[in-house]
Amino acid sequence: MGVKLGDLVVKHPLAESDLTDKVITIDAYNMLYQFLSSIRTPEGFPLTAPDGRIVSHIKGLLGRTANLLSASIRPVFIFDGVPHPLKRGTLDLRRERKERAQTEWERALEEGDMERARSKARQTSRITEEMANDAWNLLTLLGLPCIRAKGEGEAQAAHICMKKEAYAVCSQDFDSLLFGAPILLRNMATTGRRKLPGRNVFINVVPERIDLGETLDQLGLSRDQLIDLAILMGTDFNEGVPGIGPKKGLALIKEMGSLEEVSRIRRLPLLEWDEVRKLFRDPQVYEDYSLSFKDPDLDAVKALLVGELSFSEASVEGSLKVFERERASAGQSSLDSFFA
Amino acid sequence: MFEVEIKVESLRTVFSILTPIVGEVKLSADKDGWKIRAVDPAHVAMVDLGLLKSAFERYEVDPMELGLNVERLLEHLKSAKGDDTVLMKLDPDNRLVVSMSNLTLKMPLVDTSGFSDPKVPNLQLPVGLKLNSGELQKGLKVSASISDYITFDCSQEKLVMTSSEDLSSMTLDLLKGKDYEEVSFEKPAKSSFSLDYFSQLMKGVGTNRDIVLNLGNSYPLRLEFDFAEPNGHARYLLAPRIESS
Repeated sequence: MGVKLGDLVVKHPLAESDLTDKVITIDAYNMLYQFLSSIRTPEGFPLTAPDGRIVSHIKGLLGRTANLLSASIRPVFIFDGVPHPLKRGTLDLRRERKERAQTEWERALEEGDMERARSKARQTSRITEEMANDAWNLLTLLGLPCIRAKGEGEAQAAHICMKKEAYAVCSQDFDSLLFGAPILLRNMATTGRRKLPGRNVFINVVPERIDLGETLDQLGLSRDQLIDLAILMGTDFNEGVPGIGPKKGLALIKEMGSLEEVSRIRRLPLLEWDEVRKLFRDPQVYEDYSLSFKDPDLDAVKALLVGELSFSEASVEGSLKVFERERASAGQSSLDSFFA
Repeated sequence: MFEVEIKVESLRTVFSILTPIVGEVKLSADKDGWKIRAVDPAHVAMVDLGLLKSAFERYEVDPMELGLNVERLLEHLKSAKGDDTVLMKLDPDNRLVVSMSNLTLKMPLVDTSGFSDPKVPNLQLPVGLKLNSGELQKGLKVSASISDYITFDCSQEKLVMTSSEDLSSMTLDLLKGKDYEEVSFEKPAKSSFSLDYFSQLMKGVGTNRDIVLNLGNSYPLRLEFDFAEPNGHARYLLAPRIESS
């Protein structure tokens, strides 16, 4: 999903210690999808509470936030708001794909092909409103800031970073770069071994940092030109021009300078350019949001996880200990910061 | 050469000042006396302690550094009478030998190769007060039942200690000239500190001791006092809590 800039951007490996004491904005839906697709039984079923409520994403979220906090990283979660009308095409397409994956999953299960079943199951991941609400509730009880975006979560996240209120956007998609995020962090949800989609191959996934300024310098483009390039290749808001990928697209934009110029030599079926451009250059965002971190309400967290969602007490104890410790040390400075 | 004799009480005080911060220390000994400096693992609190040769009954030391498990040593000293004399020396195997009356302990030295040498930050603190440790201990004790931190707010006339959470709060006013003596005052100061850490430090200070407390604005505090008068001097630094936005 998102724009396919993976081959163009400059990536640096990232150590967790690079993020000590930094605020990062997390594309919440993006992270929840990753948990939902990876935390599944061998047959491909998500983890559920006895009443059928899906909890894969909650399990992932709990573990991940505990890790971030114990590394002294301060996460802010940005949830998508109302999708832009232009995204409807993409959303329809995703829904169709998920419905198809659902059928194929069921067929694979009947045929006893577990590997295929699991792979298809992952593709059916869908975040319902209830699931998003559970995640929101958990994070809020943990005292972590949650922000509902006006439109795209990544746009709001990028906006907060551009105002220097946070260090980076954390997402698997590259769109936040188009939205202007100075720094994008990837592979923050799941690290270590990860299965390649559709193949029984595992790769070692390490967190990476992408610096927008450095990438633009490297490509010799402005951010507006990067947006134009993305539009040529296709984004969640428009179909790309057939036959134009990262390489051809980059060459075209570098040579011609902008979409207008490209359109003089090539017929571009891009009716909604201006709209897509505007959406990336000047996205709909809220100025009124709170980034304040609060003390976690651990009794309420326990009531939600153990009481409502039927996690075993033992399985959440480790994470809760981290939050407890964090609460005790919250706000404590170190002498090191006073060495002039 | 390392062979010293000292009153149990003095040695016990040295170790009690250190143990709130760390369990093991690097002792630097030379012809003038002992110096010990240590910082806690989280780098929130620091101790800097000096003990002059004149504090010892006997002092025969070549300059050296020794790794001591002060937590363990303090435990052993608890059983001894205060005016007993302790003998500390190294045996040929480089083990520490501690003898008091009819009891002798031998223990290996702690390997100090991994110990850092903490630098002491040079803090410019606008407020200095001289007071009895009991005044602080009173405020800390009550606060501990209310919150996990305490705020010191010092104006020209008084030092106010406050602690609050939800609907409970504590305020303790100390008045200049009555409860404390002003050592220096450039401008008002206000900082908050973890009660956990602070109470630990006050255990090291001990009861009924004259201390000099230096404060700044959202800045570490410095707390100094003499012990084994006039031969020992200790200084604690404690980093503040910074209110998160």
